[in-house]
Amino acid sequence: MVKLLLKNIYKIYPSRDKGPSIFKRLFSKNKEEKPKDFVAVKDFNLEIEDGEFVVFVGPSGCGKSTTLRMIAGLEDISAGELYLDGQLLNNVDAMNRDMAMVFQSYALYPHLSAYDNIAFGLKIRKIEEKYTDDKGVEKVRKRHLTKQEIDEKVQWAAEILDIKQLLNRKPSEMSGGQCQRVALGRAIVRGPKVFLLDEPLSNLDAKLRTSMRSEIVKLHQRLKTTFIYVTHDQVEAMTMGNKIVVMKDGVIQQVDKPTDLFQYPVNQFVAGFIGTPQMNFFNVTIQLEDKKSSKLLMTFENGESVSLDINKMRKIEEKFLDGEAHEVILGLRAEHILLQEKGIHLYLSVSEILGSYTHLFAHFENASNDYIISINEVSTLESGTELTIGFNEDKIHLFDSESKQSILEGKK
Amino acid sequence: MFQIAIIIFAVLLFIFGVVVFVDVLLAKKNNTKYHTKQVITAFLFILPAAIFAFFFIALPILYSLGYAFTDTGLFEPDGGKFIGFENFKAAFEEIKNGGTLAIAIKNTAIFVVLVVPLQITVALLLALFCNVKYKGRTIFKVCFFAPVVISLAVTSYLWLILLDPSSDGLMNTILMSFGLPQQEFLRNPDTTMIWIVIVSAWQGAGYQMLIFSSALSGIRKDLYEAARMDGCNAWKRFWKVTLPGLKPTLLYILITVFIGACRIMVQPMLMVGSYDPKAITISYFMYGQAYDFPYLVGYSSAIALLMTIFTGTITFLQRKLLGEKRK
Repeated sequence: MVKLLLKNIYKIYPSRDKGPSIFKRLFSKNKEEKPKDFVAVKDFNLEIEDGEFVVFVGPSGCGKSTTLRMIAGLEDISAGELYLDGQLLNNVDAMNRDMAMVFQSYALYPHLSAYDNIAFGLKIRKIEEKYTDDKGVEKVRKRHLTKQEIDEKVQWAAEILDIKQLLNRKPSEMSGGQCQRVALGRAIVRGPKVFLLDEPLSNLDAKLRTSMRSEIVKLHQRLKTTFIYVTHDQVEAMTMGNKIVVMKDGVIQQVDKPTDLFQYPVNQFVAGFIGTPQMNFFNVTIQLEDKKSSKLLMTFENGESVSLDINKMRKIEEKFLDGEAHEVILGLRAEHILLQEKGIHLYLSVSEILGSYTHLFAHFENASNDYIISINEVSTLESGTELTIGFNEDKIHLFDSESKQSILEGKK
Repeated sequence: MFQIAIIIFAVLLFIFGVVVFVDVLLAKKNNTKYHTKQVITAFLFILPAAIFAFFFIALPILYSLGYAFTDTGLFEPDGGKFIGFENFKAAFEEIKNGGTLAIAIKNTAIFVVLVVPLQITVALLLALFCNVKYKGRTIFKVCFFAPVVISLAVTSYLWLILLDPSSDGLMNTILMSFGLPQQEFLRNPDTTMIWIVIVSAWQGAGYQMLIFSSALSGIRKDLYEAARMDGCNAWKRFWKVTLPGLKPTLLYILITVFIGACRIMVQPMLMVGSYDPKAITISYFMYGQAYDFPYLVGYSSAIALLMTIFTGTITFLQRKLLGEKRK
């Protein structure tokens, strides 16, 4: 069992700023002013089981690549512990970690052919081999792989990745997609314990990205090894991973299965980050109609309100059910907003027809902020049309307006 | 002689004009985005440099080429007679008989064989040393580059003082303070060329270091990271990533250092002088033949031509053997 354990991991970059100049310090009231260090990753805790496909996702600068590079050993761990199979890896050099990495830039050696690029790691590393000496004692010796062994492995990888015809080409003679396949080949051929993929598809065009995406998933199913994949693209994360780690500002926001992440986001950031189009957020006030009732009155910013049955909703935090009015944020996905006869009134700004379905961009009267409504038909509505919307209680998300955390109960 | 120069200049100017004309025609025919005016403007930009190149590069080469087949002396530049390949014959004869030219060739060969690997290795090591980030590396860079900026005459003289063979010389003082015997340095025929090699490598390495430095910073960092993930230690990373990445630069430096080394003259001239067989080199010999007694400009030109052919051939072979295969 290969288990990767990240315990209280921090990455702190010391400030390059030498602080204020001597003159500023002389005249500054705050004499203790010191340049602040940059914390790229903060208290990162994660357990990765053998064979899992874990995706780190988040906006750029959220620390996902830094975390991956710390796992790889390309970046020092400022604080915390990293274990692989119970072995502390903090001070183990990248070359001895038995991990393989696929880079965003492919990082293929430009002077070597695809074959030699794939074979590179095999030629460098030694394997341990058991043998019995003259006295019949079993011993272990290290040796390089033979040419034939290397060839067999390279051919195996080339077969899987369908790059047999490219093996004699240099990286400069291959397209981005082909280079990325070779880079994958270089990673899989060594049979490492963990695969690390740092935005491997970012440099490819949209079509190729989709096909490579499914190929990487197939590769994972075939190899059954642990994959750690970094991306800023939530679609990639949702379609590939079986465990997703959503990060923001160096902090883990939520770790969950793709479907749970979509259905039960723990805070407004995760809710907004996962799913296309982005979730709509309405500023509303909620108030229990009276203490004994199960009806929750939700008032929108235009003054209109709807009555919701709390029994149909996910369980809401008690403190919001005290009969007082509370300001909260209502999260609604575009596809969960229904056009109906009774409800809240919005006005259509534009409609985007996307083949079989349409995105309607609508706003409150005298407001400019647009909300997106997705309908499963081709819309013929014109701009300015009044829309009446509603929603089902079980599809809503509610967030505290201050802490931005979900106030609804998570997955049972 | 002046008239000949003018005629050659006129001919080259005419060729230049024809090239411009053909280019304008081609531009029109191929319907490229360039207009006639642009093409002519482009060539006009080249013209000043071309005139300079003509008077200071092309013309001397052409003259020298012409002199090689005459018996021109230094004081009768127009008085030389055409004597065919006599100068070349004389040169080969001198080599065969072990004359000064043969010694000069031997000395130059020793110099080239020693200085090329030494200077390149030193330059590469210095560049690697300056490529690592640490405080004060700019100071090192400046120190290593300083000899390049200082005149050859000055550095040669400086070393001459350092290598003073008397017991008062700096090097000898140091050696003797450690109880080591006094050395003759440049005066010892066995070590003269070696010291010239050391001085030249010290003087030249800074420039190549700078070229290596820029090439080193051009090697992508992710390749080193990939190599680390593939299990390479620092030594292997140098051989598998750094060196292949430096290959084009290495070839360029190899060729320029080789050509420069073949022309070695100032150091032997200033540090040993008087056409001493200990340190005479081809260029120095050539110079001596033309500008000192016996003032044989024709003979000197013939040797220069032979040397050009030789260095040209070697450079061509280096490119063929070590260069990237063209697609």
